[in-house]
Amino acid sequence: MEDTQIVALFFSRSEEAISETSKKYGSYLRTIACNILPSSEDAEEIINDVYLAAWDSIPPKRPSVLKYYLSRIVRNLCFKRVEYLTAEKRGGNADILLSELEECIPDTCRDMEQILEAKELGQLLNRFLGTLNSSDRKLFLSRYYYAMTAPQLAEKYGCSIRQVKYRLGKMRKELKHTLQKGGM
Amino acid sequence: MKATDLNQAFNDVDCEYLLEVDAPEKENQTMKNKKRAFYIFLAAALICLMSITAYAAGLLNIHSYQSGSSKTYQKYSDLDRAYAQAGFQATIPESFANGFQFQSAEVQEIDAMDENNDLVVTLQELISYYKNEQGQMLALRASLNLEGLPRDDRTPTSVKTVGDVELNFYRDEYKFVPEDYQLSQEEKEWASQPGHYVSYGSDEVRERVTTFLLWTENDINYSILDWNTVEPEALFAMAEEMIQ
Repeated sequence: MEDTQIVALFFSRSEEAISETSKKYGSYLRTIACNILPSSEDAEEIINDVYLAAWDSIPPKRPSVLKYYLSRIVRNLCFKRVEYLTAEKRGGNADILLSELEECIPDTCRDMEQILEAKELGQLLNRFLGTLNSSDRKLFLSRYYYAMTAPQLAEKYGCSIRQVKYRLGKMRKELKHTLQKGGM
Repeated sequence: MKATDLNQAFNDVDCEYLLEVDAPEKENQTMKNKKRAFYIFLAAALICLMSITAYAAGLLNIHSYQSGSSKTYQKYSDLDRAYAQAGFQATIPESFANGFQFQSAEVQEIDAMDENNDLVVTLQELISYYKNEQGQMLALRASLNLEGLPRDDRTPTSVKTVGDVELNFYRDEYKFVPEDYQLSQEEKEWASQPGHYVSYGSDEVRERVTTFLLWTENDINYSILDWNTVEPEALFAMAEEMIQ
């Protein structure tokens, strides 16, 4: 079923909206959740929360690309869950991912208490992504948007784990530089 | 700003970039496991090819090399774009008399690092892949002959001169190991010998022998790299076809 038809089901408050969303994007959302969360049980709970969040927000929202609208919801919910989990249950890929992103924050920004414009940060991130070649951009987003691990990335892009880690490290330095130049 | 703020910012990534990620990887979809292993081992061997056991005073302070990003060109007719990206032109045949046919080319970024792992210089290499009817594969590598780069000072297994060009043939042994592999004392002693290399990052421990032919012509360094499946005389003949 096309996305526009699924969104129309949400607007008409038909419960088929959830089943059609699950049919089309369930596997995709589950993959993202399992990449971020330490257990498949947590991931399954989150998937149900995603459908609920979509039901609650559509309408009034009318996402232009349903897939990525849902992927943002699942990412947000997963990382909120990671924060909530106790120290024993945390760890794993999400913590490693956040510590990698920590490296990208310019030293001058660490102690700043001012409220940053989230939109401005998003714009800087897109500007940075625009400077990358396609191959690097796909690798960067596969890691930091889809939370794929280094072995998964090596398998997907046909390179060694060492090469993956090296390229990501280089791009994190470049992102830090972009954020610094952007006045962050 | 915290890492969680930056993580949140990924909510604003342009959809077109996400579409790009989700598009199927054409070259990897058609790549069988065996071929994929060839490319991964080749990438590691090419890096080792550039590695040196010591750097000479007066040259660039290069301690190691790392592969950066690469772009693949599937058609021979796209080589002009590959040359433009690499920043140099080279002699890249579409086929050789012994039956090896052009399959694809790749412009690979190689970062040269110093002993502190800081970037010294980024090099571009043009790697062309060839295959024959028997399924044997080899790679032809071309790069600019830059001043200051350390040279391979090992004694070649054999040498042949064609006109003004000296062709040097080497035979190296590689041990490919997983990322966290700990070498035994015996393995460390093995690796310390000339022509023996350890490459980290493979799925399992594998040993391979590579043979390669090196020469320089018109300020371009060429090498034909093979997994010891092609007779050295055949590699020499291929090089002779290329030398002008």
